Amino acid sequence: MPVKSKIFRLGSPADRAKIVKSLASRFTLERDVGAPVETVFMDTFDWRIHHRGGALFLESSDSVRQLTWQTGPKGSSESLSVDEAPGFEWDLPDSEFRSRLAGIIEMRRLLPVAKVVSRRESFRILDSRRKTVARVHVESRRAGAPESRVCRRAMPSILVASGIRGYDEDLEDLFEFFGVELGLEIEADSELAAALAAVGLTPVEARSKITFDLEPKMPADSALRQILGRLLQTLEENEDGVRSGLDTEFLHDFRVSSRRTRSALTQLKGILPARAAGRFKREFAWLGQVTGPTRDLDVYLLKMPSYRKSLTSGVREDLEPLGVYLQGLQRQARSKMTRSLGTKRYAKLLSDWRTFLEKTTPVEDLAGLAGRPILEVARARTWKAYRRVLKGGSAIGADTPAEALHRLRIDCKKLRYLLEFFRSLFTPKDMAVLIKALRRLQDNLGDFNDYEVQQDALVTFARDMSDKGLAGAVPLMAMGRLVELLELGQERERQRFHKQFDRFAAKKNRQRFQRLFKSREAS
Amino acid sequence: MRVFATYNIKGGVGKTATAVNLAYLSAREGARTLLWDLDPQGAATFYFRIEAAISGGAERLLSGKTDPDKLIRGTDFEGLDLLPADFSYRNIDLELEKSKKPTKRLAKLLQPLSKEYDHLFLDCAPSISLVSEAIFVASDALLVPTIPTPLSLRTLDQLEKHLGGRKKRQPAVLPFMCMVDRRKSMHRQICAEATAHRQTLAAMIPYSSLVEQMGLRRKPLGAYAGSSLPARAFESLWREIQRTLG
Repeated sequence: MPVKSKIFRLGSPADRAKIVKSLASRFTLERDVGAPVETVFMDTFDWRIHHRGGALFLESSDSVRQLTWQTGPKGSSESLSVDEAPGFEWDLPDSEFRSRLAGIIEMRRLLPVAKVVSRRESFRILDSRRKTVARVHVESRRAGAPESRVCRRAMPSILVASGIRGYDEDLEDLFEFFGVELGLEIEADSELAAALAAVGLTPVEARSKITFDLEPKMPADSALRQILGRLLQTLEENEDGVRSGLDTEFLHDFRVSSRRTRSALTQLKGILPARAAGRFKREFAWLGQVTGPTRDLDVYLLKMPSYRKSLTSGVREDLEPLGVYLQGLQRQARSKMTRSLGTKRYAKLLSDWRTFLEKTTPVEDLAGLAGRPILEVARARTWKAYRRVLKGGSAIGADTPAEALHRLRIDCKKLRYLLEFFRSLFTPKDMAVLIKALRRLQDNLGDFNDYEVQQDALVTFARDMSDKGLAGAVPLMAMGRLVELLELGQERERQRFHKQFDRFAAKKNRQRFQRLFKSREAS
Repeated sequence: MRVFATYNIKGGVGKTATAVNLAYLSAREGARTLLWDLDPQGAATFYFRIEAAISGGAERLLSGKTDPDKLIRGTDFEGLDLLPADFSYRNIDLELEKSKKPTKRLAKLLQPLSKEYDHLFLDCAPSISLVSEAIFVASDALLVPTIPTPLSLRTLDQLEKHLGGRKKRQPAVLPFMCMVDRRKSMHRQICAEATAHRQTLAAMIPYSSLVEQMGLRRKPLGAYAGSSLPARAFESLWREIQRTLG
């Protein structure tokens, strides 16, 4: 139930005492014993809650812990009692609170972003029956960075006036008293904003898709170095997260950057010096290999809740041995990966790559493809990749073996990467339309492939678990049921393919591709 | 939303004390809780220091003209709200008769509240009438405080027979011994018999002047004597009720 409240800013401590005195002379008050409260603000790495205009925080006082979500600065807030700070949405009890939060944060981890310690003087406003009709807290607060144990940074003191359901008039009287009679100003900053300001931190801009900023006449060499440079930056930004293992998205973003790097080097061959490009391509392939197993297992662990859901309630618990097995494998894979990321080979890859990308050659000295305007190269390569997708997709009939769809999926990915690299060179609307159309097709092909991969993986897991005596007949049968469900899913996607491809290859899209990418010279 | 009704044809057996104290415990555990004081005497409302008056009275509430949401008041306790009593509740039967399906009217009225509350307690007036039938239809469980005397058991039998004959929706009937005075041999005897033969709950609420003090203190027992014997008895009762209902 939403509790209406207003927050007023207070001046000096002397003001506080005066205000309490005025309050007592006007209203019937009862003082509550208040204990210091520690508030930890939480958000995902990419500040999803903040970007929606809300705040999530955990208040701890005595032994009570309450998680509150304010869904907007003037909006309502809801609270939930918890035993400890949640890491992920699935750590919370099943409730509407949890499902709505999950809608925003998905699988990302909640991390502490700021800490506030407040001392409260709490009062209850009473009516003639001595019923509490409103509450007033006078708070002095100090902020600290989330890792620090002590909060030392001063924040403005505030007065919070909140209501009790059904006693709106009493609350309005209180608001009028504070706002009009005492002339107090509304505190404009949210507690989180004030805390961050006190500590000197700023919310990171929402990490949307990485954007590249290219100019049509830029030489291809500079453009490619810029693209690869941004990808390297993303890789570095995610490194700490990968090592800490707190959130699977760090490793995911890390690997995506690595994959796009390799794709750029392959698809835009001939721009950078061949030998160097070849060497780095091989090294990034190695990086993909050492991080792959951990990511695969992360994905299966993330799928476990939906696996459980897809089975009937009597059978769900039978998947527990699989969960335990996967966790064990993931731990092993992670330590191996962490060791690889600690090697000189890895460190050298990143530093050499950075050095290589920062080497700029004067335009006059750029030969061949490297010196051509990027727009020209972009159009040629994208057109080529697009034609490949059209050709591949058109050749797929109802009886074509699955292999052709897997190849098409890869070709679509190549096209997609190119569209994203060169997005800034074309009109936003055109690119948005084409990328959306391609994404739909990719989703279908991706799901089709994913279903197959999952089936194979589950069979492999089952064999291994059986050989090692980690699962009896019952769990294996539950896994078998899963495999069957996945097979049905795969078949469904296969049926959907033709419609999806026809949609992608529709005249309007073809015309748009032609307009943007087809060479003006002889076709 | 689970609906509990403290119900007994007899008056003065502990319905209100039970409703108030269990609602308090429910909210303390974190369940969003509403207590509806259906007794025109308004004792539960009085205990919470709230005015026993609703705008428009029973007529507008039961006909759907007043939204119950607008009448609900927060108690002094986190997570616990009250829908107050009103003297016009003495006419609830008459109001119910005005609707097409009188026994279903209450359940219909309570429906929208299920989004906001996990537990609803109905503190019923002592009676067996149309409003009682409506309560039977709307409730998941009837909590029947019973004083350990032969007449009380007879009344309990009567209730169970009445409910047993119905074809319609059946609330779970959970009788429990209340206002037990262990000094009285008859009380001891009846309690023993109840435990041996009947379906009464194991938890028993002792007679206690601390509970009577609720009328002076005007707050739930748990708020002023949380570790007392009767308070712990209510806690056992609440736990047992929840376990029984699953």
